[in-house]
Amino acid sequence: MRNNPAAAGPLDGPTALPSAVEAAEGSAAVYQRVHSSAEFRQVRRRYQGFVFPVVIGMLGCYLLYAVVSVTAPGFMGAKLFGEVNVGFVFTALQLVSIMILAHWYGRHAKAKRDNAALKLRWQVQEELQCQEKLR
Amino acid sequence: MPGEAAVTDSAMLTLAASTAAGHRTLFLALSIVVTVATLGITLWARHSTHTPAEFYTGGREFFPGQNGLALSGDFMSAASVLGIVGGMSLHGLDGFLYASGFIVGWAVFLLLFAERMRNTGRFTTADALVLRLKERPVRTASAVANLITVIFYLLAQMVGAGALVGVLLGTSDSGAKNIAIFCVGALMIAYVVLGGMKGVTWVAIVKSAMLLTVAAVATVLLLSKFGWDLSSMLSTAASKSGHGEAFLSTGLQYGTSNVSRVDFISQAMALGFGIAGLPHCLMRIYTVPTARAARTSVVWALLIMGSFYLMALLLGFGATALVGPAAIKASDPAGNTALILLAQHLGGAPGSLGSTMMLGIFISIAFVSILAVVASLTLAGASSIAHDLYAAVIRKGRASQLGELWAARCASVGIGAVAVLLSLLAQKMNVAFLVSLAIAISGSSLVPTMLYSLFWSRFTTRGALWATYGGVIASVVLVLFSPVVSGSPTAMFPGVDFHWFPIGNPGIVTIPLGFLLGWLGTITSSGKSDPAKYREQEVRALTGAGAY
Repeated sequence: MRNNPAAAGPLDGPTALPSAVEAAEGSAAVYQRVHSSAEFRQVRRRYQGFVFPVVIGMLGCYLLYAVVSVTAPGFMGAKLFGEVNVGFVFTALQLVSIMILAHWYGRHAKAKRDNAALKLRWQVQEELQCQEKLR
Repeated sequence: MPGEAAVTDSAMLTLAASTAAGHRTLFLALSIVVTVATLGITLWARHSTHTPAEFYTGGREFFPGQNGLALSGDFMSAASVLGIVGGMSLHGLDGFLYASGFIVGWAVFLLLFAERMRNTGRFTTADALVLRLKERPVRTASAVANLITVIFYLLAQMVGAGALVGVLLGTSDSGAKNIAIFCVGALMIAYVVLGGMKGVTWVAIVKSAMLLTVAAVATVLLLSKFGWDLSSMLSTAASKSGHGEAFLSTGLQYGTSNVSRVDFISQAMALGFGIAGLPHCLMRIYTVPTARAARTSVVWALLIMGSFYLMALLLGFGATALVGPAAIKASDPAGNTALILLAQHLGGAPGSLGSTMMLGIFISIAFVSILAVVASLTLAGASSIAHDLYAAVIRKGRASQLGELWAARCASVGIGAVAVLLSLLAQKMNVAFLVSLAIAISGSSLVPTMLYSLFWSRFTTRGALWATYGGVIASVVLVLFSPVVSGSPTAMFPGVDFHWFPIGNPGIVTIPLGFLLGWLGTITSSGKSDPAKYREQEVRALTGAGAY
């Protein structure tokens, strides 16, 4: 049946159903193949390898900021230069470092993931189209 | 003696009246120009809004830079901008927590959600969730959480608009505030119904550009007043604040007792986790063609907001140094008008042309800010109703394109009307509390659900429902029995006391609870999740295969 799509016309109720199931299995197989491919694993590793440590570090730093703010105002009020104190510098640095981080993340993704991800995208879509045609 | 006092009083009243008349005229002229311009934009956008997809996404053809401006515009709401500067001018660095939290929350959104949600979703949060969860219950839950978040956020903005008018007219007369709320509501419905996402986005872009420009001008004027010497501005602020050196540090507002310390950390958690789930921000990632463009637009938004908040850090202390806490408190006890008063001061001597102009410009921009944000919120709420509830749950996917578009427009009118009615009732509510409640709800319901759905292969429908409903219910109940509703002098009902939850922001309890419920619901599910579906979701999320 798979090799002879003309045999089961679109109006052919009872036989149309199994062929749809087969196509669904087909798409699952495509995703499984891509999912276990080395290229996909590399894209995922590069994404997670960047994102997980950065998110944990950033949230940790932010919670530290919140806790120190309310438990150690004396430390935050310690002067660094002129009237500028630790709290002011900590606050400003937090903003600036996250801006730099966002920019860095964008560049990292562009350099390390985007091309590989795009290639996989076309590969998946082509294979899915083939499955459709087989149906 | 009494006669003398009366003379001075009446002289001051005349002075106030003449400057008020001057800035009122300018404000009216500017508001009319801005309103006509933005309505023109939405009328133009109407010509390219014929399908639900165009209504929800504006045709997915915005550039990342434009979308970044719009995203930051949505986020620098009048409540947050005025609130941050006001909070700092009265309470020192503690008042800046909102800005730090917003930036961290946006970075979490960028790193964990922006690309993956763009690749797997279509218009609303639920589109990405139902890829491997049961469609109807999950869409209903997500729509409920979205709508509750949107309504609280809308209320905050509308109440803020009323307060602004009170300051403008120098009156606490509720009639004038009602008219302002009604006008904001009518304009917001017009923007959304006519222009859809395209109109709303352009309004947000215009607003964002205006806000950035005036903030930069104000910062330059402020620093030049102190001869570009940061230290001298800070020491003036410290001496004028009445708190001395402690004013420049943290802990002035929240470092006084253990309860307030926990409240501060709770707010910090809600901001850091909750931003990523806000429906009006999530919706914007679908207005660009690809996940890459979505990522770039969030990076742009972060850079814009970061620069803006750096300026706000200076403007907050500047308001104390130049205007002084007594004058700020006299105008609004919560400090919400500090930025406006600072602008007036930076323009020149009271009553001069420069000062009147700055005041008029800042007030009009605050209004455009409110309009842009409420329009985005209404659109996000309407999308949830039309796309999740009407098209998918009620009509089970058999709704026609025209029917869905019609439903979305009706829903916009409905949400607008509900928001106006509630704001008329809620005029005395504290604006900042409403915003932080909305963010806490999103952080304890939508964010755990999204995070589990994207990163945990075993996550099930039951887990999603428990996390979503559990987070929403817990947040609302805890706030209801907290000091912001009863039992404190600043409460909504100061006369009665039925509070048992000691802190104002429920985030520190409800966010872990949302995650716990999602996990518990999943491990107690009878059915197992389908690993093939998770593989498909992961491949699509990271590569963009089959993305809309």
